[in-house]
Amino acid sequence: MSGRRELFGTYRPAGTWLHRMPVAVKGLSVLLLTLFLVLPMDRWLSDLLEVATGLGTGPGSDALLVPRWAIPLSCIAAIILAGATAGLTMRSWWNTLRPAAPVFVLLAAYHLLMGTPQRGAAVLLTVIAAMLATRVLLETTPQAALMDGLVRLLTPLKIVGLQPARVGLAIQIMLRAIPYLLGVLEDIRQAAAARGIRMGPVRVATPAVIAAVAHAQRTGEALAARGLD
Amino acid sequence: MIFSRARRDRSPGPAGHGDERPDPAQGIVLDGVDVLLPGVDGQREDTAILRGVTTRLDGPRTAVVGLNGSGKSTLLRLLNGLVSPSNGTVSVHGIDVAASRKAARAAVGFVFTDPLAQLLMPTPLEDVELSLRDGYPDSAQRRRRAVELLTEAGLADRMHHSVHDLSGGQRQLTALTAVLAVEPSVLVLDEPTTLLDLRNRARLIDRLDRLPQQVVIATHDLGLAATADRILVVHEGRLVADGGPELLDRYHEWCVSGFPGEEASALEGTQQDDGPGVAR
Repeated sequence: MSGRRELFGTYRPAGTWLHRMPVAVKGLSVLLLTLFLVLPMDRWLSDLLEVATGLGTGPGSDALLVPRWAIPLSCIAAIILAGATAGLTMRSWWNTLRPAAPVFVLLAAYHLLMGTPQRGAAVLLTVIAAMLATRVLLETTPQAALMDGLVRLLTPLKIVGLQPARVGLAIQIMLRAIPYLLGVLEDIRQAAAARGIRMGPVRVATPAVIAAVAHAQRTGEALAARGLD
Repeated sequence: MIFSRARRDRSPGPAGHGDERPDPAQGIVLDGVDVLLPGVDGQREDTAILRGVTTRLDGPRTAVVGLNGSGKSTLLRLLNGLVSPSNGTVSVHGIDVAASRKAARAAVGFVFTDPLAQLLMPTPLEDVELSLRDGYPDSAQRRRRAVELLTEAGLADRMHHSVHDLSGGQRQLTALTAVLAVEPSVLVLDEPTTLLDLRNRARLIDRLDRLPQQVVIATHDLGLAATADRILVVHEGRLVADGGPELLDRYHEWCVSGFPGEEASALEGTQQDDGPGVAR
């Protein structure tokens, strides 16, 4: 059952610098880091180095002084280092990445087939860096504080009729539902295995959809009962 | 009295919050309530989940007992508008549930059988904070109040844990704390001890014992039911008996000696001598 919360992690209270950092600063840092990684920093840094050192790869060449994968890899190292100071362990990182492993395999296979291994490595490492940075944010910030921050961010949109508190709650419920539904898939596979049945993805889909609808109904009922609907 | 248990003097608690102020003196009133499941395309007759329920609940503790599928949970869900009556009216402490659903939900705290179904946030602290969102706009005050409430509930060392990592009893106490945080005037619990071990069951009963709110509990746990001042027996959608805790002995006898489908004639017509309740 605990696997259900492992994808995003849960806030672990402590007094480290990352825990004390205002939620706005942390959230903005994750956003800027992700933007930084999707921009062509490898090209810009290579051009900069070329100008600064005089070393070049020749006119019109696409070759880079800074490999595509070096920047996200450096960011991952920095995130892991920062996370370690906030008490995040290797197991915690592994729990974040493990559920996404099939997606990583697909991405890697695609880029290998297309003959772009360097780009593939850069894409994979960028996704991993963004996931790890998000994990740091979620493990060092109470979800209530995240919701408060989001509600404050969305407050100006009240003029167009948006209800920030409602949006914040919806996002929280969505965050809660994703690991729950991953757990449902695991439960279905285990239930099938206990009966000596191997279920393929298509056969798992039907009970999973039924469980998802039931979960949505229960959540709706709980929201209504607590006057939050 | 095999299920009897010493009862304490209790009276309904303070009014809660809402658009309309609940008035505990007005009790919980169900008048001619039917809950019908419509037939399909007019080809089949409506199925009655509850039929002709009329009663008034004034006492501090009421237990609703009955076999599986008898209509207990539906009866409870009427009280905060999770289920709407097909016919008849329901009012809770003077609030017409159909007309003022928001006020009714503020006045009636509802605890589900499975606490995981109602805990919406990842940790107990955050879930209680969610309940306090309206009453405490300031986040620091809200957090302080949530910590106080969880500490009172004996969950101080678990407030930052994932709700998935709590024991069944801790989850149930968390759900109860989150519901009580908004100070409802009525507390409704749907089979609250089903998933609990004996120790956690005892903790829950002790916590319920100390509450000032009017409490309505649906349960198969006759020990828990015996802590109530009044017992309602629901069978096949009808309120067939209404009395004090002594009714539980007859109910138990009927349960163990009867068979599914057997008429509840042994229980029908029982009325509370000194109370307003009338079983129909």
